[in-house]
Amino acid sequence: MNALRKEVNHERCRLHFARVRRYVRFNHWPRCIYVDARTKIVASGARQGQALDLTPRTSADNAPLAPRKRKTKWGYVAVLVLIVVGGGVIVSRFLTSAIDYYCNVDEIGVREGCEADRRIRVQGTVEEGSLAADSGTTNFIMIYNNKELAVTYAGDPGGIFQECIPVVVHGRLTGKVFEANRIEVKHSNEYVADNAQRIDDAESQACSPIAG
Amino acid sequence: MNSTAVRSVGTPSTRLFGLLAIVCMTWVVVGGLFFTPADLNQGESVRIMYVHVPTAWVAYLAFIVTGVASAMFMFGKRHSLGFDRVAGASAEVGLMFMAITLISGSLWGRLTWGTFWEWDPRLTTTAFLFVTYLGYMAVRGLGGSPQQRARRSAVVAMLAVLEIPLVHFSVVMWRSLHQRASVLSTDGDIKMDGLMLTTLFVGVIGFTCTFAWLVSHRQRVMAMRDILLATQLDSALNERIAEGSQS
Repeated sequence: MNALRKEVNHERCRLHFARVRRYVRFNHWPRCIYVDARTKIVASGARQGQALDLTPRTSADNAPLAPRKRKTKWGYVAVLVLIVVGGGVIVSRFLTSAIDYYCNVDEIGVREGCEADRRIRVQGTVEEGSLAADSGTTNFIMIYNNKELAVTYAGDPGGIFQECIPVVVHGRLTGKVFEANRIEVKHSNEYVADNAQRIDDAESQACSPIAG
Repeated sequence: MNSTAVRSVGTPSTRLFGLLAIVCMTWVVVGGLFFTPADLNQGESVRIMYVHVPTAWVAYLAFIVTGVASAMFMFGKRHSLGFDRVAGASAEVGLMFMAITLISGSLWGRLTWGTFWEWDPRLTTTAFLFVTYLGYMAVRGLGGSPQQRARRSAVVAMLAVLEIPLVHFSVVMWRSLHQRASVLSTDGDIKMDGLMLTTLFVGVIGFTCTFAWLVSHRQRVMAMRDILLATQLDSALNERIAEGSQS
């Protein structure tokens, strides 16, 4: 009976390989290849000159090998899910203060990580009419939540730096002036056509509130 | 079965995707460069958006497809290797799109922020996502039988896909130099000029079709490679059997 089964299995193998296009189309992997692979192991282990045993390997009591059971290891899955959820909680809750890229102007000396005596990044909007360039130095006032901060920067920020635009400045507070050595423009998520906005600008000259 | 059919991995659906991709990409190039207006603050540099945003979305899509296909392989009754090939192909293409996102974003950042790169939450999590999928590709290349490869990589893919919400919402959860989403914003208010939005939308369709076209072809090439391995093993076995029967 076992021998009959093996023959049938071998026949199925041939059928599969004869229909490779069916395999491509329906992704049927011919499982019998593994039976044949075991046969190869038996064959390669035989001594030269001896008749090769090419039948599939069987267990000690000559019973056919039982098909491998596919068992989902739910324990491992649960542990992995716990690690991921735990990691997510740590990242989102406990490391928030470390990950935040900047402090707002009104948080200097108030919020943890925004101490005035250390190098910090500060975000605010360049106040309208405050921008002045003097012998290679750019001076302006940043404003956020009605709190102002005077900023001085040695050089020309370049790019799209202008009044009424949110910026992040890197540097240190010296007295009441923030000495910046780097300025990044934090553009908003609004995309307005250049020409259309000119009309609106003519009607309203005020800085728009910053987003994000 | 003629010889052309054996060599080709194209189907009517891939041809349709290819055609749609060409049409949409033509729109994006012509519309993005010549017809859409410049932005009030960002000027001409806003045109990078028509590549940067769609490639980012398609990279997300690719990694989600990888995750879903991996789950279908793992939890499906037949454990079909077809799902594994789709997962692998999608991850490869997704990595390519993510690389384009990072490069275009870096150029855009230089023009607007004034810097190519900053370790802010969005950029850091995106880099982390990119490296994770590089690791996924490494796991796929570890060797072993196709079933072993599929099982190992499916576990990685199902975990890696969980990073996508972290990347997308990083600008909401933390303070970031990167601006918040304009189209997929939580308040539902799209703050974008009409023609800009249309071109962006066409770009998303175009890049999505490109993704579908590439994945379809790639997974068929992978199927052929698997068949080749199987037939090579089969012929080696037949040779060995013939050798044994002669002695």
